[in-house]
Amino acid sequence: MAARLWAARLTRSRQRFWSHLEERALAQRTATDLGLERANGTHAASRHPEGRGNGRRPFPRLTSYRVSALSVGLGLVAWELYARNTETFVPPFTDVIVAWVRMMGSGELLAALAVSSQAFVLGLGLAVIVAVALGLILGLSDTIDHAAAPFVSALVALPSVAYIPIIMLWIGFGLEGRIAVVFEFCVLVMALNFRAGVRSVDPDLLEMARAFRLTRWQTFRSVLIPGSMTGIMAGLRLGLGRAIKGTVTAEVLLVLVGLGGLVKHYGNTFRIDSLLAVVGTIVLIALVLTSLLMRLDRRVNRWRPRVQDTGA
Amino acid sequence: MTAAVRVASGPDVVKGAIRASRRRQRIRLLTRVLILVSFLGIWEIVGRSTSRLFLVPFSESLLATFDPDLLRAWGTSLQAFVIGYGLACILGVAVGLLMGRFRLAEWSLNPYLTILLTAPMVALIPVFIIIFGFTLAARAAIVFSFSFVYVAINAFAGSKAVPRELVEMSDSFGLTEWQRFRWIVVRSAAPLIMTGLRLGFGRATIGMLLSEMLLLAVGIGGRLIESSNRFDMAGVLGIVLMLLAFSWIGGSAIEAADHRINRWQRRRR
Amino acid sequence: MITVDGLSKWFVREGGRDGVSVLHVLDNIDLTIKDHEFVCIIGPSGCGKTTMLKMIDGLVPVEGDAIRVDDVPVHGPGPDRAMVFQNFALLPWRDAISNVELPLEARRVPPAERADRAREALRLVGLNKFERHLPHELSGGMQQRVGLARALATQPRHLLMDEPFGALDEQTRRILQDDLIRVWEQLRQTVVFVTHSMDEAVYLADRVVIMSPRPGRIAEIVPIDLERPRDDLTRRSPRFIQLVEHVWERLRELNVVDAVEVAG
Repeated sequence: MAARLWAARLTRSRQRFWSHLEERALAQRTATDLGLERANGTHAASRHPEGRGNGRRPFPRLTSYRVSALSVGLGLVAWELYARNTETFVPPFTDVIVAWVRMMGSGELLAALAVSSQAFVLGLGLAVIVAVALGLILGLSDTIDHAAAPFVSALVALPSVAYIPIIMLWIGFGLEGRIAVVFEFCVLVMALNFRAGVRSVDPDLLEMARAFRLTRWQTFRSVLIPGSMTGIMAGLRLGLGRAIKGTVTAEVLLVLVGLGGLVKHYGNTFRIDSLLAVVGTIVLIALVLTSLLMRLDRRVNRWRPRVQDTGA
Repeated sequence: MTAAVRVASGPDVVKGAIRASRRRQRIRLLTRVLILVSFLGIWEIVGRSTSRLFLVPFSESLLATFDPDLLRAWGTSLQAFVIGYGLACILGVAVGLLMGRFRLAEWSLNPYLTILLTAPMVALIPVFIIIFGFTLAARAAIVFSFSFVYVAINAFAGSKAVPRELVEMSDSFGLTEWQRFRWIVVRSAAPLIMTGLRLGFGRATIGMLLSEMLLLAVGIGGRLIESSNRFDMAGVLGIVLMLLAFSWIGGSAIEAADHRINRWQRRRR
Repeated sequence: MITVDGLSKWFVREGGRDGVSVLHVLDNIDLTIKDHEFVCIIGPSGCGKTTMLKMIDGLVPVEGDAIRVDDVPVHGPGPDRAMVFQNFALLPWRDAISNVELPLEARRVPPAERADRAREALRLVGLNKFERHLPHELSGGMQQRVGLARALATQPRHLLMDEPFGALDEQTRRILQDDLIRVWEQLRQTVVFVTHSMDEAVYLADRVVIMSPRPGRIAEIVPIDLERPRDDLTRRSPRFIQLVEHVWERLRELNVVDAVEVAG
C-alpha cells in the first residue's frame, strides 16, 4: 500500500518534471483566461492536476530528451554547413564519420584501444585499491585526517600534469610510466570522495549502533559501508573520468601509442577528421562506462530515493 | 546549542578535560610541523646521497627557482591563463545561470556540457593549434576550453539550488524577475559558483601547462618539459614547487573570496 | 530501578577564542525511577534532558557512579536498556524487519529466533504487514513504530525514549501515544520519556519531571494522578487541563531566556 503510494508519487513528480514547460504555458493561458497579469506556474498546475493529458497540441510535447536531441541535431547540421561553405581547417561532420568507419575497418582504432586499455585498467585498478585504503583511513581516524590535511590539500592543489616530468625521470616512458600517470590522475579524487563518503554517514546511525552495542565489525559492515556507498560511487565515477584523461595525456606526452598516439599523429599530419573520430570514440567509451557505473550505483544504492546528479 | 558559557570553576574532571583538550591541540600542531620538517629533511638527505638523476636536495630545488628566465616564462604563461580563465569564468557563470533560468537552454545545452566534461581536452590541443596557429590566442583558447565546463556546470547546479520556498516567497511579495535574480538566485548560487571557479582554476592551470608542454615549448610548461628532457631534476622540482605555490595562492584567494561572499553559510570541514 | 544521584555534566569543546569552551549542562540532579514506572522529562530547549537520557543509556560518558541502573553503575550501553531515537535512526538500506533484527544480530541471536522476535515486535506495534518495506517507503509515524519495535525486540527492562514523537504531526502523535501506552500496559517496562510537549507529558506519565534551563536542574516533579487506562476523555477532563496548566506555569517561570518584551 505504502509502496504503491510512493511509486505513484514518484511517477507523478517525474511527469511533472517532464511536462513542466507545458505547465508553464498552461498557467499563462489560465492566467489570461482569468484576466490575471501574472501567475505562478506551480500554482496553476496544482489547480489542474489532471488537465494536461487532454486537449489538442499545436506541436509535439517538449521533453528534455527531445529538446536535447533536436539541439544536437541542429548543432551537427550547423557544423556541416559551416565546414562545407567556408575556408576552414574544421572538417565537416560527415568527413569525421567517414574517417571513423575507415579507421574501424582497418583495425587501427581497435588496436590502439587495446594498447590504451592496458594502462587504463591497471592504473585505475591500482588507484581504486590505494584510494579505498586512504579514504577509509582518513575517513575513520580524526587524528590522521587532521595531521594529513595540509599535505593532502597540497597534493590536490598541484596540477596533475606537473607530476608527469617526475614520472618520466623516475619510472620512464614504458607501460609502467603510463600506469603511473593514470594512477596519479585519478587516485586523489577517489580517495577524497571515499573519505567524504565515510564522513557523510549519519552520526545518529552511528550513535544507534553504539546504543545497541553493535561490534566494530558489525558497525563497519552494516552502517559505515552502506552509508558511504553514495560517496564511493561518486568517487568511482569521477575517478573513471580522470583515468581516461590520464590515459590519453600519458600517451600524448610520454610515448605515442594507443588512442593518444593516434591523436598526436593525426594532429601532426593535419588530419582533423581522423583526430576528431578518435576523440569521439573516447567520449563514447567514457559515456558508456559512466552509464554502466551509474547503473551499478542504482543497483547498489537501491534503498535510496532517486536524487538528481550535479556532476562535478 | 548556542554560544558557549564559560564557567569560572568546574570540578577537577572539567579542569582535567580542558587540559587534555589543550594538549591534544598542541600535539596536533606539533605533528603537522614534525611531518613537514621530516619530509623536507628526508628529501634533503636522500637528495644529497643518491644519484642526481633520481633526486636533488630540497635546498637545491628551491634555489633553482631563482632564475630571471623562469619569471619571463611565467609572464608568457600567465597572459594566456588570465585571458582564458577570465573568459571561462564570465561565460561559464553566464551560461550556467542561463541554463538554470530557462529550461529550454538547460535541455539544449546539457548534451554539449556532458561531451565537454567527458572529452579528454588534451586530445583537442592539436586542433586549436591548427586553427589558431602558434599564437597567444591558441593558448588562451586551450585554457578556456579546459576550465569553461567546470564553471558552467557548477553555476548551473548553483542556480538549481535556490530554495523553492524563497522562489515562492519572492513571487508572493511580487519581486520583479531582476530583483529575484539579484537578491535570491545569485546569492543562493554563489557557493557553488565559487566551487566552480576553484575547480576551473585547477583545470585552467592544467590546460596552460599541457598546451605549452605538448606543442609550443614556451612558458612555464615549456621550461618544465625542457628540464625533464635535459634530466635536470633540480629544474623540474623547482618548477613543481612554483606550480604548487601558484595553485595554492590561487586556491586560497578564491577560498577567501568564497568566505567573504558566502559568510551566511554554516561550514563544516 | 534507575537512580540518578548528584549528576552533573560539563561539556568541553574545542574551538572558540581560547581554544576550549566549557558548557555546563546538568547540575546536581537527583532522581529515582521505580520499576514499571512511566516518567516524562520536560524542559526548555538545551536544558540537558536529552543529555541526561543518553547518560542513562550510557551513550554519553558518566563520571563515577552518579547513575545506577538496578544498582549497577552505568558506564556504557547495556542489554537491559533500549533507546528510541528522535530522528528514528533507521538504516535506510534495510527493510523494516531487518532494522528490527539489527540489535539481535549484535547479540548473536540465531537467525530463526531473530526473525521470530522481530516479527513479534512488529506485530506489537501494528506493522506486521510492512516487514519488507524500506524506511523511505513508510510514513514518519510508521518509521518510528519500527524504531519502537527495534527497541522492544531486545526485550529491555527499561525503555529510553528521546522525543520520539517530536518529528511527527499532531494526529500521528496522538495515535502513537495511545499505542505506546497500550504496549507499555502489556509489557510494563520502565519508561523514561523525554518530550517538549506538555500535553504529551501529562497524558503519558506517572510523574512529570520539569527541568530548568541550562544548567539543567530539577525544578519540580509533578505526580500525575489521572486514572489509567487513559483515553480521549482523559484529555478533556478538568484534572488533565489543570495539570497541563500547572506544568505550563512552571515552565513559563523558568523560561526567562526566550521571553521578549512585545510592544503594543
